[in-house]
Amino acid sequence: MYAREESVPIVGKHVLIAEARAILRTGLLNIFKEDPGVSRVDEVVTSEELKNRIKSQLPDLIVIHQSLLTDMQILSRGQFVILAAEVDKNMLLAAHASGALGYLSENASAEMLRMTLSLAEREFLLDPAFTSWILYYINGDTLPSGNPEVLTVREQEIFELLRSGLTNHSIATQLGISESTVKSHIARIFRKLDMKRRPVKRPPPSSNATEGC
Amino acid sequence: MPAFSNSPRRENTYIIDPENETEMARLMLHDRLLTKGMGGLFPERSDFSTIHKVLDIACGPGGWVLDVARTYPKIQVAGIDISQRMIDYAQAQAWVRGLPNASFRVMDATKPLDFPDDSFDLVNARFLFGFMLPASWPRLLQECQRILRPGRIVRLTEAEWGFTNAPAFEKLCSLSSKALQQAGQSFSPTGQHTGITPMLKRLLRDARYQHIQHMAHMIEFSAGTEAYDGFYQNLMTGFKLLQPFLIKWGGTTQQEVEDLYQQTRVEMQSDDFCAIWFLLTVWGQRPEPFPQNEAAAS
Repeated sequence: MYAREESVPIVGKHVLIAEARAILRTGLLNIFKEDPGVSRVDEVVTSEELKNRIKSQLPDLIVIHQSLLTDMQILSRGQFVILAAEVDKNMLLAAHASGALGYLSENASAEMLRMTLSLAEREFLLDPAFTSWILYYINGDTLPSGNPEVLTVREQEIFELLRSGLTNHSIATQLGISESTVKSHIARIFRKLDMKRRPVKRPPPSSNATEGC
Repeated sequence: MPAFSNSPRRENTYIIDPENETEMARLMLHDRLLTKGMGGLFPERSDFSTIHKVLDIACGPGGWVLDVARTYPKIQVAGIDISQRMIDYAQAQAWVRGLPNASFRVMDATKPLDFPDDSFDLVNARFLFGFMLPASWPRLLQECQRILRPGRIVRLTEAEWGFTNAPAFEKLCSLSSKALQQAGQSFSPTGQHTGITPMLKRLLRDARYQHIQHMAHMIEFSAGTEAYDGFYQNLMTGFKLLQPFLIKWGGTTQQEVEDLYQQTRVEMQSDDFCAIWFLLTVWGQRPEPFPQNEAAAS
């Protein structure tokens, strides 16, 4: 239930962006600056810099790229969001266990990024863009052990289209790339995921599939 | 690709493209706002001794199901939704959160439900007004009765738009109600409100549920209140995604909805923005079969 107090004074949030690449960092800075609930946005470029910064002052929200995340222990529960180019299974599970507020794609929309501002501790916003990867991990429990090679963002995109049953030609048209590029992407995906065939679209649930419901 | 522009309306009548990634994230946030505003997952209930299996209809990305599964590890909770991507996402989240008692399946709430008779102790549905046609309600409630065990509960929660002191916000809400009515998805005779809250108890009575009760909820999301941040993010995203539906059915233009959207943003950012939102939960029991002697006596 929401607290009964009439109102609390509006204090703008302090956001810290930890991202090495200038383009992404500047973009994130602007996205968070645009939010009326944010009064201050700072940036750091390296994990060293992040460590030193949070020793002196703890922001309300740290938006940190997975590549700068050397030690999750230095981050407080309910105060950080991780951005990633692709899913790192161990990092994802550690993020949830360490009280991250979210695990989002570095390509997440501005709206989705700003949604993290209103999350409370114990909430966890998983980027829907990572779904197919995680399902692969779930179903991959029965596959040969050892971490599969990680798909790039483009390969994930193509994998998703493959799963929906599109042909190489339609994928090429949809992504605005050549069919031969699509083919070489698919060859890499097959190799990385140890697949022999194109994924088939899942059949509708059958009536005896009710266990666990 | 908006679901309503290139697929027949009967197929999927949800007013927002439900497979947009931002919409999925927004619905997660929406689930939390709603649960908090309602005072918890089961605000009307303190006894869980009879609750073993729970179903959530139109679960979206699974926010409610995941919360129930985490809070009540002994309850088996299932979610169904028409969208495969939504269900995939919900499953992925259950895995990340380590919740084996949560499960998800693709199913259309407007069609017969693929569950055996007498399967559940509680069937929950929140915010179906976004896709249900008035004529679909009786059939869904019959189906719920079939899959509920005797004496067990169906629970529905619906809302009207918020009431505010913000003109553009009000206009957007009124356009939305109008568009719903035009699309044939409203009980409101004039399109002045979503039309569903006055009907909820009647729908349960007509479907012969017993011991029908209700609980109303009021959430204030004025500037400076605890609920404000979440509602601001949620509404700004929601109104943006709603634009194609408003243009198609609300008798408005892209320019007008975009202007209203920008004005709403300014209004909501004002220190004197005042707003409340009403929700209504109703619930009823599937009738118990008559005891032998009573049936013989009558």
